[in-house]
Amino acid sequence: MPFYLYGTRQEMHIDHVLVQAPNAQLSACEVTYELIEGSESVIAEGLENGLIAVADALPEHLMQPFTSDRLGSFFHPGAKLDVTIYPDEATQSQGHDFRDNFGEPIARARITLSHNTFVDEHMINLDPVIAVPQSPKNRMPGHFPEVEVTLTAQDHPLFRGYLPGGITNRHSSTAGSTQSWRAIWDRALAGRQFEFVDVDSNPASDDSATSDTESKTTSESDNNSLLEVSAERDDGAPEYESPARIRVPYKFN
Amino acid sequence: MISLCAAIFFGFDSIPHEQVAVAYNKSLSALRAFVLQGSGPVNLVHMACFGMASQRRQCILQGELSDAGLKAYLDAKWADPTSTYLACTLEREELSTIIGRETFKCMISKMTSDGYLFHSTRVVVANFIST
Repeated sequence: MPFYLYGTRQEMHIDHVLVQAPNAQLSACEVTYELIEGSESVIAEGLENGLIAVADALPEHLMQPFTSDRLGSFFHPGAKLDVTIYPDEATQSQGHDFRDNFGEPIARARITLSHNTFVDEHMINLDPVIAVPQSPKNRMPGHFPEVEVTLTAQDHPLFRGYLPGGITNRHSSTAGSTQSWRAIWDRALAGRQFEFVDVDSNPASDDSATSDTESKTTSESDNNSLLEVSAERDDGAPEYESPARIRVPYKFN
Repeated sequence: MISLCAAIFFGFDSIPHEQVAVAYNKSLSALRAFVLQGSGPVNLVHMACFGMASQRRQCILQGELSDAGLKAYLDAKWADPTSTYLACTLEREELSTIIGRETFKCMISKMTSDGYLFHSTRVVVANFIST
């Protein structure tokens, strides 16, 4: 598994070289190393322009696709990686096979990761088409919100509320969520078949409490639900017994 | 009849997805996030995302933060050294533009379990100068 090795003699950092997708971003700052073979001065000189450190004991092609469990087993604070260090010539070359372009190794070392590591196997592989947030105004049949959003923003998923471990609660109101194709399919169907129906055009005064209950239920409920018939009468009977007062809000995430 | 309807239905359905695919393979200006590393000269590791052409870049920048930004960042890092700190661009730009200009304004924030802390008093707008 190849890593970029860069920084200064006092502060060295590593970052996983991405040679295929899907993949994971693995970064560690202020790593230390014990030299096994080679010259320290050569490494120090090479740090400014970057070096390649290949973890010999980690065959990436056999470990892909990465999961958080697998990543955590070898990339965590305090972890040690035995690496062979090469000059960064491979990334300058025009060849497609990164592995074939390594030059002669300049050193072998054991890198120890510091307490500060960053692992992301979620955002880096995010499918933006699935993750596109959809606003209520785009509910019209025949309107394809994905296209509009796509053309205006390709911001990193972080700005849409995602984190390495998934979506945040804090941003969930404005961001999309990772959903299965089935959820998207159901939502698309519902969007074609239903509109917001509010038959109760002249609500009575006692309906205000019901509306409050509805909105509370809606806001507290999980956004993954597609259709919610949340109205209930005070006696607990379902609202659909009275067709004239059915309120069928449907909502997008 | 059913198959005809299905074909029409799926045919229509495929159009927006094709458009999305084309759009996401076109590199556009976008907001970017970098993992901040180091404490003197700093390194910024571009957070890539394979799904979008604009973010489909692995890039590590080396440079310096402006004085105010560096001080606030080091203070925050001293208080919580294990956290990940991010530098996020404030304007939608292409990565090549940033590299060519060798300077950009960024917001430094701390990544937390429920998002990156941009409302914190620790957040600073720093000017990053590539070296």
